[in-house]
Amino acid sequence: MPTLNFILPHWMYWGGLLFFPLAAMFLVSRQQKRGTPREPILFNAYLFWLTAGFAGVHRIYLKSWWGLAFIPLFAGVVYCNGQVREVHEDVSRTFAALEQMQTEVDRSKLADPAAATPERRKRSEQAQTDYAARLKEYQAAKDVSDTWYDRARWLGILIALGLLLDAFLMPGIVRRLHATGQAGVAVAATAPTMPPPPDVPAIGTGQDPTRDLHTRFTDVIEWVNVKAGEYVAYWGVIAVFVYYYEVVARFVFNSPTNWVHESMFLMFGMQYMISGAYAYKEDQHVRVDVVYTHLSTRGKAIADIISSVFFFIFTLTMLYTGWKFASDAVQNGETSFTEWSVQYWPVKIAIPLGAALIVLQGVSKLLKDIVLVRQRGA
Amino acid sequence: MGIELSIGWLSLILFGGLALLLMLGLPMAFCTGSLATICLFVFGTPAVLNMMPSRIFPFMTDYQLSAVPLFIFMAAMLEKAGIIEELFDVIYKWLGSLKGGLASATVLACTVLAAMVGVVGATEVTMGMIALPAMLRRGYDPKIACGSLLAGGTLGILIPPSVMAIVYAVVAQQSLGELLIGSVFPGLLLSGMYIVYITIRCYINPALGPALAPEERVDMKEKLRLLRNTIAPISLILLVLGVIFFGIATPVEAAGIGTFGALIVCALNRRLNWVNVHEAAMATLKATSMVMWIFFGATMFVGFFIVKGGQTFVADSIIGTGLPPYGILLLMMVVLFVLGMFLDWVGILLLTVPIFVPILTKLTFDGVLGMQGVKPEDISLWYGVIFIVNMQMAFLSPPFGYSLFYLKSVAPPQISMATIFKAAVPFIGLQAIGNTLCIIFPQIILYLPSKFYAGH
Repeated sequence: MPTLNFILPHWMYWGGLLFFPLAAMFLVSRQQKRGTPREPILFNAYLFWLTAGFAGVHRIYLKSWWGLAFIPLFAGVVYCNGQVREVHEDVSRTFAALEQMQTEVDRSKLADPAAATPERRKRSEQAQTDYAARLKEYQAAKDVSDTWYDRARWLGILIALGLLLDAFLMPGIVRRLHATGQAGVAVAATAPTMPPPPDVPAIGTGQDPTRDLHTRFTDVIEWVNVKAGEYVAYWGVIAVFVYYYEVVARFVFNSPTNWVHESMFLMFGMQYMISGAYAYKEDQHVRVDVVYTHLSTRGKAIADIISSVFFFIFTLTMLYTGWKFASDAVQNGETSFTEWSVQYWPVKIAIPLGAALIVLQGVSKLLKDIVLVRQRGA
Repeated sequence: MGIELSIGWLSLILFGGLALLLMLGLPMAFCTGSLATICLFVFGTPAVLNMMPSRIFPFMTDYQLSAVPLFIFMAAMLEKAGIIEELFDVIYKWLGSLKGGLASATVLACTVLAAMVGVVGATEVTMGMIALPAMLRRGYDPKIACGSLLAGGTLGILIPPSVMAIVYAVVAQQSLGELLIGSVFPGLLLSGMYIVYITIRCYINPALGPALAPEERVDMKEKLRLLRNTIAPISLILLVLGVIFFGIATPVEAAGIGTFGALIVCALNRRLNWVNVHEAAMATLKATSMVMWIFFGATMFVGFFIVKGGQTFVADSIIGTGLPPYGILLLMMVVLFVLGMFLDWVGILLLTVPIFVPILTKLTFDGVLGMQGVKPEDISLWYGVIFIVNMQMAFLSPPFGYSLFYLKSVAPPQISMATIFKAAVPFIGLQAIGNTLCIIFPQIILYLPSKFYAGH
């Protein structure tokens, strides 16, 4: 198998983070309007063809049992790669021994064969024979490695040919499935049809008295926070494919990457921070229900107003200190200390950004609490 | 401002203030965060406040924590795939001829699902919607029916993958792989105990859980045909757990490919579309954000407490009681149980683990009742799994057990909260027994990690 040496360029990383959510938002709203398909979709088929076609997943998705033919081939590739990895140590060990012998040979080389003492001559001959032996060992190890490498390559070519063929066949298969009309029901027939489970709020959440209250100003804030939440939520989808890429690259192509882990935990770090406001808007931050549940709506609003002092102490401090923390990083154009050395400052900016969003959400909630208290008080 | 105060008073202010703010209904994350901010200012200097972002940032860039959103996303996608209904359907048809078969099937289905999801909510809600009416219709005792759902549902967070294990691993600096593998046997132990308990009770008194009427049972051919539906989920479980067990990839990568597998399962059920992905992503975001913000707040709170000598203070007062090591462990279990009645598991974990684990690792556990002890280097792992098993009780213990409320929200109206409370009691007892077994026989936890992770 060839090696994959793709290193994600920084611009592509940041670009992906910026544009993937936009594309996803567009596709989601389109499907929400047009309804969701219940039969195989060509897009999904090609998606699996691209990402997991080597294991025949695209065929299985289309209920074509030819997909199973890919599995032994793929298993073969993984096995051969395992062998390559295993004999890799032999190869490098024998190669090191060979090099060592080479220096020995060089050192014992006789400048003037005629003038050499018998010991020197003997040592030189010994080095020559040893060198030959080491060379043989190295070649043997190299041969084993090459054989496995070759086998992996041939299996890989076979899979690639199959995939190439399928790329042309798939539209036809999907059309046929649609025509016979049995595409959607293949599995669903046995599963009992159920109404979707209700969205049950976890205990300690979903009790915010202000959730159903709307004012023009607070609606704007909440719209911003919902959109921010949605935006970063789609990053989770990116992570699935990127981690998957890492594992495939390592096991199928014997080429681990140096950017997958870092790029993903940084992305999630920004996600945690920015989504705080959205979760607060949805009242997902868990609280203790001992007293709060038993309060009236007005009582809850009053309790909220009192406790908001503490909320703002925390979040405003986070905003201020986070701002200083991030501006240092921006000024220095901080990058990470890893091989990939991606820009660190955007990740640090997520702290004041997330804090600012949650402060805004806190303001919105406080305003609505005040409205509630005054409404009932009047 | 730099005011000095003895640690005893400081603890009182911190935890008293925490209790007060929690009562006011301020979310946990902000209670801990704001108290820490105030205390840092009052008992330190304003400049100390600058430590806030530098304490938060390591959690934003923590590699292991990425497994949290991934495992939650995987569970959400599988839920969208309709896999919960499918599995229950298969298992109850297999076990239908047994007395109490539906209740056992519920526990078994929950166990299998627990091997795919790392949280409690979705499994319990969906199972409650399908299994509870199915059992009640066939004359099951509501207490047995609810109890099996409650107990089975909470297994989700014990049997790997488990979000709680990830959080524990990060807080206690413990190998996540070991922790996940170590919680396999305790999970199966609890699941087995539930099934045995249900079966014994139903065989003593068949009115509690009658077997399916003969005309409702299905023949062997149909049973085998049904198994086809389980191929995809079972291979997904084998994939994820196999990857973790044999150390083929890190648990985070296992979460990534597991979620990819969940997308495939979803596609095979023809439910992979953008709307479902959107819903799953949003649900994941809410759950993740809640956990992480408690991290942000609690790390400040606990950090301040430890810097001021709170750790030594607690250690001294616990060791000062003169209790033997197992007595101290028991005391901690009681504390966890009591906290579990009121607090969410994330809060309990973040507040207690940084304080308890250093105390425990200094003690020697050389076995009780002549059993094998625990090596010092294994204590953190051992306690981690015991902690997770203990938290199972927190989900069921009234007045604020999560599972109780999840179940109530989907139960038919004739099932009262009192019935659900009563249903939970025997299962809490079983969990306590399971927890005790894990303490007395540490090999239940330590055997698998020592087999699979030795030398990693």
